[in-house]
Amino acid sequence: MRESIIMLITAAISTLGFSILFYVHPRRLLVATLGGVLTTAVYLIAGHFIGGELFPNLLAALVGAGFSEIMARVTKVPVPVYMVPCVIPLVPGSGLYGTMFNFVTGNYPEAASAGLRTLQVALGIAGGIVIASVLGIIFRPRLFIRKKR
Amino acid sequence: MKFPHFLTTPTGGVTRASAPAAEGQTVPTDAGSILSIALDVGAELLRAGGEIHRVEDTVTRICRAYGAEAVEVFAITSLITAEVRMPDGSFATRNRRVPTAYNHLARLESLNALSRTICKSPISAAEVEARLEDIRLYRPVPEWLCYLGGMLATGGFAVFFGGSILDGLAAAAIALFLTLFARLRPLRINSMVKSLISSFAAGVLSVLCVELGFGEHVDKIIIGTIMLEIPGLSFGNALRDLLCGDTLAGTMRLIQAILQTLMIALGYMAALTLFNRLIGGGV
Repeated sequence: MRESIIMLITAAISTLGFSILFYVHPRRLLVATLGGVLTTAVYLIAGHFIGGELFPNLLAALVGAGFSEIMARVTKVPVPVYMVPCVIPLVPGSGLYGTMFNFVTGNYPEAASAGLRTLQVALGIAGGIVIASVLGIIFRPRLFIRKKR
Repeated sequence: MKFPHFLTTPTGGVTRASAPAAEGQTVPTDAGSILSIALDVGAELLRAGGEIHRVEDTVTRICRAYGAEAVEVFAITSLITAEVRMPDGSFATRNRRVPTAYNHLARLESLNALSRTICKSPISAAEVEARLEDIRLYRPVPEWLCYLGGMLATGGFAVFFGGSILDGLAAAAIALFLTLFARLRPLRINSMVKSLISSFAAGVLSVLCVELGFGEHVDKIIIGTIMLEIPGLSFGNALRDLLCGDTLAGTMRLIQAILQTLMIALGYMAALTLFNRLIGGGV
């Protein structure tokens, strides 16, 4: 429990940091940071109940990206303004490190399994983003309406 | 549901009173000028990290707002090409090369607002140029705050992945250096090589920090700095482009993301191998 709370707090700090680094307008910082915390919370809860890597990441990315799509429409800004910061806490930095470290120390089976886990996380995130964007495109005013000549 | 005013203000970033067109500044009606304006906005949008479909959509909408009859746009991550035909049968074709793209989300927001303004009521070419210049010069936060942002992000992630407070501080210190390196404008080196150098430096600095007693876990510090190095979400964005039908742009982004990740891994691996040899498996 204590670990989860620390993770939520640090996720908020990191998301805020990344939002500043990606030049999110100061007015949007609050929502972007909240999105990062939301994504982490979903990831932790799903990890507790489902386990594994693929589905917690997919669910968390789906909720984070869905939150961005909704907030983008509410505040009338492009979706990436929220989407980029929201999904940042899921990026598999730890898995990438595990892969590299085991590769360098010659522990190849462990390196391969860490690498595949990292790939699984990446696929989960991509899947979540894709589902949310596709839903976002469906519920969007029509793009190419051609005038009848 | 009622949202507070500061959240729902539509114009993000730059706000500029819409001045009535001055003498001699008329709304353009020829195909070339219209396409030029639309591509200016589109190219800035692509540079600020806009999605491919957003760029294509924006160019189409702006051309139509100025009265174009048919618009054909095709964009990939580094090029926009478009043709517009006017009701009188005249047409124009233009290309715009976009060398580098990075996430500048406030600019994205301002450009979106500008595009909305143009679509609502077309303005003169000079006016669009002036607003684009405003958007280019606009800084949402002071420069020093970006360094603080990088430090917060990296330090936060070092603790997020299970490091101690001291690890977080060490990672933040390294992040200050990395952000400084990433912002060296005059240093015109290829972004892949830049990734390689900066991740090698980050690896070396992380190990040195722990050897000097500043920080406890090398792995946590390195993970924190990896998060800063990895191009944010490029993999997810690439797959999103692919699955939403922008196959060419998606493929380009995917390969770019994979190569960049490999370069980062190579940089850290070089640093780790170096210290494994020197210290003898102590890392």
